[in-house]
Amino acid sequence: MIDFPKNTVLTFSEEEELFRESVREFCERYIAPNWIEVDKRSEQNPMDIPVDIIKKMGEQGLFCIPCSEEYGGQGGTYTMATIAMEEIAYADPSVALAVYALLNTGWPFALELFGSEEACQEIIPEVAKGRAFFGIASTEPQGGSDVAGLKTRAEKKDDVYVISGEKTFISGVGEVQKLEWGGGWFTLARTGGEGHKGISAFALLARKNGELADGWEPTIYEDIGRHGLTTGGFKLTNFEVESKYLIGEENRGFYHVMEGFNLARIVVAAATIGASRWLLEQAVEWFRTRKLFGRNISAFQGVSFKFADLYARWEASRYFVYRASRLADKIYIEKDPSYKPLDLNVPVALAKNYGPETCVDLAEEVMKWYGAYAYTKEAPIFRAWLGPFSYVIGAEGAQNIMRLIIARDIIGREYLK
Amino acid sequence: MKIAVCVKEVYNLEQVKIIKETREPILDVPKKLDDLSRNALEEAIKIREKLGGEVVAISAGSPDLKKTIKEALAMGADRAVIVTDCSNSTPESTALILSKILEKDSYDLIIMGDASSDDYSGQMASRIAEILGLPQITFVSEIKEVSEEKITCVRDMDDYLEVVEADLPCVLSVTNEINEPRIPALKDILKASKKPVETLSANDLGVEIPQPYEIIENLAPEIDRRQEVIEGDAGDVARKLAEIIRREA
Repeated sequence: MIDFPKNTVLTFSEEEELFRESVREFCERYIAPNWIEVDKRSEQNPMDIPVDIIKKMGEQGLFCIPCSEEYGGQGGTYTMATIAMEEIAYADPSVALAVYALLNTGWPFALELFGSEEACQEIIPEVAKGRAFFGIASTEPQGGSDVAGLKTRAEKKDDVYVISGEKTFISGVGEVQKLEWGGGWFTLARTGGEGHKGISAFALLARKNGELADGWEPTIYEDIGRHGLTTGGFKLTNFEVESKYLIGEENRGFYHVMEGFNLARIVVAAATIGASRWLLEQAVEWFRTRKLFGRNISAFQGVSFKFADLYARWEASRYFVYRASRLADKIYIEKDPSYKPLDLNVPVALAKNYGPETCVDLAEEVMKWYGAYAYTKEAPIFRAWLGPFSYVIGAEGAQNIMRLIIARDIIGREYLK
Repeated sequence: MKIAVCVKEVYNLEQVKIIKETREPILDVPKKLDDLSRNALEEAIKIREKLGGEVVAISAGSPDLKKTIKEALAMGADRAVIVTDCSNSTPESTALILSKILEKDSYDLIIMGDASSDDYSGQMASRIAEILGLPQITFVSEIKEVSEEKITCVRDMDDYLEVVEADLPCVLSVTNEINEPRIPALKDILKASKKPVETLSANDLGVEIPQPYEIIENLAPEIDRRQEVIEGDAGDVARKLAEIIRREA
C-alpha cells in the first residue's frame, strides 16, 4: 500500500490517524467491494443510486464532518473531512461516492457559516444521516465560470422569494428525488442589479419530508463517468422560497458562495488524490508482475521515469490539499483572527488545479502502461479516468479559473486587465 | 454488569514489509488493536447496551499502548487500565499482570480474543481463569443468553458446537465468528480522548517480568513458486490447466 512517507512538514494527530484508519476500514468493508458494480449499474440507469451505501455512510458519520454537533454534524475539522474524502475516493476511484460525501460536507458547512439557525436545524441533521442531499446549484445554461453573470431571478413578495430561471450540470438532481427526506442546494439568484453585487444565496429545497416542491422541473443527464452520483438540471418557475432560507445577507450571495467554493474545492482535490493513490498502486502492481523482453516493464526508463514524475506531482498535490485544509481549520474551526477567508484563495486554487490534473494524467499513463487490457471494460482503470475527468472540466471551478486566481493574486489584478 | 475486556496491541501486519534477501520483517510500522480483541470488545459493548453497566479495556504492552488503547475507547470502552512497560512479556507474565489488574476490581465478565494475530499462543483466557479461580468458556462463537447471574454460550470446537452454561463471574475467549466489530465514527474518536486511562507499570503491580526464552530469529517463511509455463494452443492450454487444477485442488 502506498501511504504517507514519514515527514515533519505534514503530520497528523492521533485522532486524525485513528479517523483515517476507521474510514479506511469502513471503505474496505462497504465501498471497495461494490464500487465497480455501482458504476456499472448507474451507467445503465443514472437513477439507480446506491441509496443503501449512502445510508451506511450517514450512519458512520461521513457527511457534514466539520458541521457542529448542535446541528447534527460530526463536530470534526476540515482536515478530517479531507482525510475522509481521500480515503473514500481511494476505495471508489470513480469518485462518485467521494463526491457525494464531499458535496454533503462542504455545502452544509457553508450553510452553517452563513445560513439562518432555522435552515441549519432543519437541513443539516437530515443530510448528516444520509436522508437528504445538499449540494451546490450555480451553473446556468450560459456557463458556470461567470457566476456574476447569472440570470435566475428572485423577487421578494412579503416573506417569500419567488424564483424563476434555470440551473444546469447540477449534482444530486436524482438523489434529491430518491433519498428518504429529499434535499436541495445552496443556490444563487439575482435580487438586485447586474454584476456580482446583485446576487443572493438561498437554500433551495426541491423536496423535503418526502414532498416535492411546486415550480421545480428536473432533468437527468447521462454522464460518461462517475456513475452513482447523478447530474442534471432544473427549471424554476415561480418557485417559492421562504425568507428563512436566504443564506447570509441579501445581495451578498456572491461573496458567500465564493467562500463555499473555496471549502468545496479542498475536498474535491482530496478526492482526486485518493483516486490517484489507487492508480499509483495499480501501476506498481503491474510493474512488479508484467514482463516484456525478459524484464519487468518498469526496468524501461521511459516507464519508470514517467512514473517518478507523476508520483512527485501526486505528493505535491497532497501537500497542497492538506495545507489548504489546515488553513481552512485556522479560519473556520479555530477562528484564529490572524487568518482571513481570502487567505485561502491561492492555496485552494493550487490544490484544485494540481489534484485533478495529476489524477487524470496519471490515469491516462496507467492505461498506456497496461496496454490493450486497459481499453477493455474488464480492467476498471478507465472508470478512475472518466470519473476524475469531470473535475478537470469543471465542478467547483474550472481549471483555468484556478489559474486566474493564482495569477491575479501573485501578479496583481491590475496587470491582468 | 461490569465487564473487563483484555485487549492486545499488535503490529499492523498489512504494513509489515519483508526484506526479500534476508526474509526479515521491517517492524517499524504502527501498532493497532488486535482483530480478536475487537471482537471481544464488540461483544462486551453489546452486553452493556442490553444490561447496562461498564466496559473496561485492560492491556499490557509497550509504551505505544497509550495510543493504541484509544481504539478501544473509540469503539466504546468506558475507561482503560494499561501497563506500558512489558513489551517483551511472555504469556505467563502477561497473564499475571492482567490478573493483578482484574483482582483490583470485581468484574462480572472477563472477555478476550481466543488468541492474538501476532504470537497466537492462545493461553491468556485459561491462564487468567486459573489464576483468578474463575470458570472459563473458550472458543465462544455465540452468546445465547446472558443475565446478571448466568451466561450461556456456544463453543466452536471445529467438528461440533457445544452449548455451555456458567455462573458469573466467568472468563470468556471469543472467536472471530462471534460478531462483526463496529467501526468507530468520528464522534466516538473525538470522545475517546476524554475518557479516563489509568497507566501502571509492572512494578506498581508487583510483577517481575521473567525472560524464560529469547527470540533468536524472526523470518518470513520461504515460499517457492513453481512458475510452470503451459504451452500449446488455447484448447490444449485450457485442458492442461484444468488437469492441474483437478489434480492439485
